[in-house]
Amino acid sequence: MLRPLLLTAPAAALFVLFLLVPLGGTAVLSLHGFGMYSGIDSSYSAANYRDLLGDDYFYGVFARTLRIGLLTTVITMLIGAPEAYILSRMRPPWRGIFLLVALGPLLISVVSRTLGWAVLFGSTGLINQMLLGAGLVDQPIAFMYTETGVVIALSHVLVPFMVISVSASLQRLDPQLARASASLGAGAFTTLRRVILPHILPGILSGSIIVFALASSAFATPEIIGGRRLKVVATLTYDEFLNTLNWPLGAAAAVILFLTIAAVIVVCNRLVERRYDRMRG
Amino acid sequence: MRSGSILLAISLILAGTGATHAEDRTLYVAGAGGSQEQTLRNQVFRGFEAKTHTKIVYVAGNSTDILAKLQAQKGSEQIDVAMIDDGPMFQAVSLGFCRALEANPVYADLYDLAKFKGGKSVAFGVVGTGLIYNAQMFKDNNWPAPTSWLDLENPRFKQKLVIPPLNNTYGLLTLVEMAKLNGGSETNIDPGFTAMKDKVGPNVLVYEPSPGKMTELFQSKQAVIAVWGSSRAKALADTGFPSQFTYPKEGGIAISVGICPVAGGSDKPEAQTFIQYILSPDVQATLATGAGFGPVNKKTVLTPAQQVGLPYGAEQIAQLKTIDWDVANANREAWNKRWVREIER
Repeated sequence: MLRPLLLTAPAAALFVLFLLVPLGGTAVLSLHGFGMYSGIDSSYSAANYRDLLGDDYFYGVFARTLRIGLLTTVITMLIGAPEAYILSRMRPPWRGIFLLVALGPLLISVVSRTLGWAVLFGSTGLINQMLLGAGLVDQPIAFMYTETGVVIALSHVLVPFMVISVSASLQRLDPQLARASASLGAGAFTTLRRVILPHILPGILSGSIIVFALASSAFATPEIIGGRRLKVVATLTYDEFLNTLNWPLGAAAAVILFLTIAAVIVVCNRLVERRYDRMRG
Repeated sequence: MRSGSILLAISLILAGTGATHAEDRTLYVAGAGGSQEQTLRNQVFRGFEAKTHTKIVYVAGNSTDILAKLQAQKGSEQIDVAMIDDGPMFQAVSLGFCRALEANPVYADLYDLAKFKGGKSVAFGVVGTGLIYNAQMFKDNNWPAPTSWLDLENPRFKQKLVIPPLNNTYGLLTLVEMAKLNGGSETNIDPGFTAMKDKVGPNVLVYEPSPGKMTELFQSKQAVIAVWGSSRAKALADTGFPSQFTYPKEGGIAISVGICPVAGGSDKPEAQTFIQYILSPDVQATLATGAGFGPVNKKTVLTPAQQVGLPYGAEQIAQLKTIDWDVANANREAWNKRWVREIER
């Protein structure tokens, strides 16, 4: 009876110490007051939440964060799911090689990868030079400091999570199913749509959860590509912590973001579970 | 979310390590990166370390970062000396992060502008705020060199202008100057916000606080003109980049870069000695030639060649304008709120 508890104790201690304690600390911090020249006081009130939730500016930032998260999720879905399917149909040496290529973005540190995008995106950057040179546009396209740029850079790094998640559910798929479907007269497209897709849908959904959570809490990409005028909740939190020094307000914004993402994840997870239950039963 | 937990983790780490270093003869100095860090590390610290048998550890970061660190370490202070710009320094003093300066003859040799109110902090360098521009691109386009702060409103600089944000002193000075040129002042800031929003805003590519990023924007030709300081401009020009720095005809604006001994902690006497050392004429000359800081000690002597590009001497320092810091600091919180809502969106 005691053994399972003892065996899980180290992991539990790790979670409590490095996840729950900082989260709890942030939540407590968010209830304190702040003055620019008096610092953080020890009072408790919901004033920071009232400030944020009664402020159009914050709703704008919040809407942008969710918009970027959602767009990134849709794009990674459209790229990642077919990519995973194609990878699963490849023969051994190539499958490994291309899987590594697909996971490539994760092998580079977020800051250097994002700065790389910044170099490509600039009005004098490679992408705009190519587009101008090919005569496709006559004015450089604004990628830097726009949501378009942020979504492209975020999709680039988050596609691998979708690929991994969809690949996992493709591996669980019995290859005989596709043949059975063909033997019953279904064409390739019908098989894909009626047999394969329903099976990998849970994979796509759980991939979406990961991508959405990472995209809406991303910091480095919106900070570097988006700049100060394109605030998302994570960069707003950073700004309150490091520039205004208003830690309580930053903590409140962080808590709201955390709760929102957690709510989205819980709801989506329910959908995934239900889907799996239906498949099993 | 993530940055919140990281900061908490950092403060926990600081709290844990503070005590172990209290006995060491090590002085922790926090200050700006870039040319200031280079000059201090390569030419200034060694002399002090030899003289006092103290080891200096330098923590680089911009003024608001350091202020955040001072807040994080409160109660278990580790940083002994903080070097930050005048605006954030005012905030640091009022938040109780600085301790009183001990009396020393060197303070009598300073220009008045260097002596901050309250006796807890002092300026160790003067930087002039003006306009930096890519002279090569101005020539290629046959544009006349900028002469006025109002040139920031010129539509030819659409998406080619960079200004540091309001939480950065350069941004604050720009806002106040635009207010003054449009019939306002520190106490009547509305015209400044209107001008920034309607006339300057469309030209601004990005409100960028990082000197590294600013340099990159110039080098990649995305930025053609910017509001910046004489010391930063000198560092960029010294790399061979065809940039020019100019004080607009309405006058450049002075930024005094401050230094203070950090309150609390182990109150090392070396902190006071270090500040006196930084203010000595020799070190002042080194900081001038290396990092482009205008000397605050009247006894500092520079050759004419060394004087180029930095405010030097009573006359030049007197020509630089200052803003009413009491009003600006009192309103900073409200201005900041308004800035992120009206200007940075």
